[in-house]
Amino acid sequence: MEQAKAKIQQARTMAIGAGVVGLGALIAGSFMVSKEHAIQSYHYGLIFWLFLALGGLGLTLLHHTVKGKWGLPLIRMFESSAMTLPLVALLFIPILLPEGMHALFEWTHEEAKSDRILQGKAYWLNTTGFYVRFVIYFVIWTFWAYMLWKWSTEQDKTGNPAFAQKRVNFAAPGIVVFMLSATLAMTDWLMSLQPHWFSTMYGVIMAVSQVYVMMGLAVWLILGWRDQAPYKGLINPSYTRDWGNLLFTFTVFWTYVSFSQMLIQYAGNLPEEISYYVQRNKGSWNVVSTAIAVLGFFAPFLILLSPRVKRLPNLLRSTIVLIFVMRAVHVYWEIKPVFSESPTPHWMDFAALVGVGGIWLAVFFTNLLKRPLLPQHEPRLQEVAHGH
Amino acid sequence: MQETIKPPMGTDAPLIEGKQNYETITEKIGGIVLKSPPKIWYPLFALGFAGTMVMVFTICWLLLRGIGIWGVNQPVGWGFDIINFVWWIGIGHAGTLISAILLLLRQQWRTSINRFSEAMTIFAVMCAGMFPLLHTGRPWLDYWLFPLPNWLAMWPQFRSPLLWDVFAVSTYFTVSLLFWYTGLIPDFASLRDRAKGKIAQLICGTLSLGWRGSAKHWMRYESAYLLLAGLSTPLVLSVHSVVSLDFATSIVPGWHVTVFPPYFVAGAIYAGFAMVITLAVPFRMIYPQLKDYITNHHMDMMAKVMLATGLIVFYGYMMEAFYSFYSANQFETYMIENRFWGPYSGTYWALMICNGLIPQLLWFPRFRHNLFWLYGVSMVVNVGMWLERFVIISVSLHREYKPSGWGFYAGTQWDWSMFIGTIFFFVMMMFLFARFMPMIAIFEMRDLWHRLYHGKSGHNGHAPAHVPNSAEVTSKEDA
Repeated sequence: MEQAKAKIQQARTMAIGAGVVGLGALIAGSFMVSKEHAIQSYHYGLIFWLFLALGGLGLTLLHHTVKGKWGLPLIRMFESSAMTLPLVALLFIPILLPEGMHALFEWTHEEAKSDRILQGKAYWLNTTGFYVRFVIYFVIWTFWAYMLWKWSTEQDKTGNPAFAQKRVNFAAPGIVVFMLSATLAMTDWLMSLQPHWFSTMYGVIMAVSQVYVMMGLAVWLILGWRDQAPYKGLINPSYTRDWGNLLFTFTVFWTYVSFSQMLIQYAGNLPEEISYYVQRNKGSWNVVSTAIAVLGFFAPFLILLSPRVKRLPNLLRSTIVLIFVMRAVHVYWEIKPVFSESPTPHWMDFAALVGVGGIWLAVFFTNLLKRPLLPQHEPRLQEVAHGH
Repeated sequence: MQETIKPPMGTDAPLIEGKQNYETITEKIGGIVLKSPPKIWYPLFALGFAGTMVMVFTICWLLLRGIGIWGVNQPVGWGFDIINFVWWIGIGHAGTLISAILLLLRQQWRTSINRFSEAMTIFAVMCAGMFPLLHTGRPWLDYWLFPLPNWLAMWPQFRSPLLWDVFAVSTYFTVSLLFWYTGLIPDFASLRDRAKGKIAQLICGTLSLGWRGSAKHWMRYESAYLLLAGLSTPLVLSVHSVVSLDFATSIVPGWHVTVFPPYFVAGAIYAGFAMVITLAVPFRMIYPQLKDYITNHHMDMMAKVMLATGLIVFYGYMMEAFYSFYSANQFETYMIENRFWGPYSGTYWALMICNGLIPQLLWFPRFRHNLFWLYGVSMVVNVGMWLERFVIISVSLHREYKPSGWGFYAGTQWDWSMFIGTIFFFVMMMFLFARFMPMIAIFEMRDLWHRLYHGKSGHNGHAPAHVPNSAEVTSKEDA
């Protein structure tokens, strides 16, 4: 029936293996190296895969709102990714433990009580509030992901087209809720790593990063399975062109918002703000910053301008590998300068990335296997498949 | 104003209504230009002209007396002049978005409103440009804004966003004008061929640049138009981003906000679509034949874009407020408290109601499909966007870091007469445009007609029983 499912099962087995090995290594490292160091690496790995899960939710909401044809083959992946959010919440536990909080967030330290600015922020940056908000974010996200998943599944089973409108009416306000909750969540989990710093653009940059990286993963996977049923015969250049153009748009938009933030804070040169960029341009961090500009923007920008890349699946896949790696570097660049003067990654950073990634992908694939890989009663999809 | 809207409504409504064929499309749109205008045109134009004279009078007085006649002073050095500049330039953005970005996105609903909103863009940029040029105080020296080699070896400050504005706005105006004119060429040729009078033939013939409609002409036209669309697309983002940097690169609390660039761009599109609706609804009443081409489908789509961009803008307001408190910086916090409860709190809360609260009605199809409500919301947004600039620009300035530098600001009668004068100037230009140029791209409508109905427009030009909606048509094309 669906040959691609066999591939997905294989991939899941590998993912489980990678997850066990990675997390095992990380646990070993927490004893051998240091607990503090291990939790910092773990936080990095978790945030990166959280980006994929939230990106899945964002793209699900976007697809159901605008109903673009480009999303039809990918929507089951987006939904499956969004449904990993409960898992991500569970994986957050080590960070929420007092030791984890202490290793990551300066504002939980005793010294914060004598810091005037941090005292002023204490009404937001306090452990109780942090926990309460954590629960609220995940409840909201899971609720939206679950309802959209459920209505898609029911439509697959019953073929009742009324579910499509139901999803639109639910997803559109969901985008509003998602943007606000994701902004505040990123403020809690990332921005507050450097607690004096703030930027109103941050939530936008992070939300774009999330949909950007998830879009990359979904397109990369589907192009890999393009010769297997049910994708076989479906993936035509009109799709790859749309996907390439979307990735191009995300590349440009991400750069636009990131560059704007940098330009404004650079021009303002205020102590609380500029520290963020000073930290990221000191010593060898400068190399990473430059790499993000060159390989994270200019390279995919120029490559994706070409219509040829958007027509040939293998070229598009290679481009996505670059995008994906640079997304991981970007998250690294957001987090690590807080803890380390040197950008050289520790082996535990890789262990965390692979370990959390393995578990995340295993659950993602499991979600994907639960249902048919394509929406079952979608006239626009059948039209294309049958070559009308 | 209230129209009874027949089903189907919203995006189910067709993009072209009524019994049409190629001939009726050309006749109905071209006829507006070639025949004498409806009676109501004369008093409306006269009204616009009279208001423009108020503007001209104000400018003359300003040149005689200097900008001391305005309300700006210490500490509020940027008042109505800059507010109106930002307001007008924002309004222009819908035109560029509709004509360029929606073209690249292959959105068919752009076709009947693009010409109209491009004209709006050009006139809005004209209105916008007047303010900073006059604000320099010596407008006869405004060419100094450009980096001209000169014997004083005086150069503009390249690091200042104010100079980037000069480049951004002049590029924007040039590209918009070229884009607009390029699209008009085939239509001028149609008018030339249909015109009865010698003068009309001569004018349209000159403007159509020898267009013959040969395959080669079309090929070149298509690629030129696509290139101009590609050029205009980044301008939608860049112009208002640069405008926002005028404020954001400073360190004034309330101005120094990193989210400004996308938030200003969204606000510009928001204001622009509100203005398109503000103009389209009365123009459909003055020229009833337009109702076939600017249908409820278009109104519904514009309302949705307004809702989406309005939400982005509202997100910006919330971020400004949240991070001002989060920053725990006394000046940042005071800035937002001053907006909430200070002497100008009325404008702030009016802004929240106009731009944040009332447009939420557009979530409901009932309001999107009712032109009376839609028009009302668009008017409210026009006001709201002006208030937004007032709050950001002047309210942020009126209380400096130390209370000794606090002041109050209000526009004088000359500020108001200049602002209202530009509105009338804009209206007058729109009426001139409607009188002398085809308001809707004739050939694009014929092309759309062909795409929608595949030439199967039927024997007597009756629309076929099954009218495909835009989504279906797009998927057919792509397959």
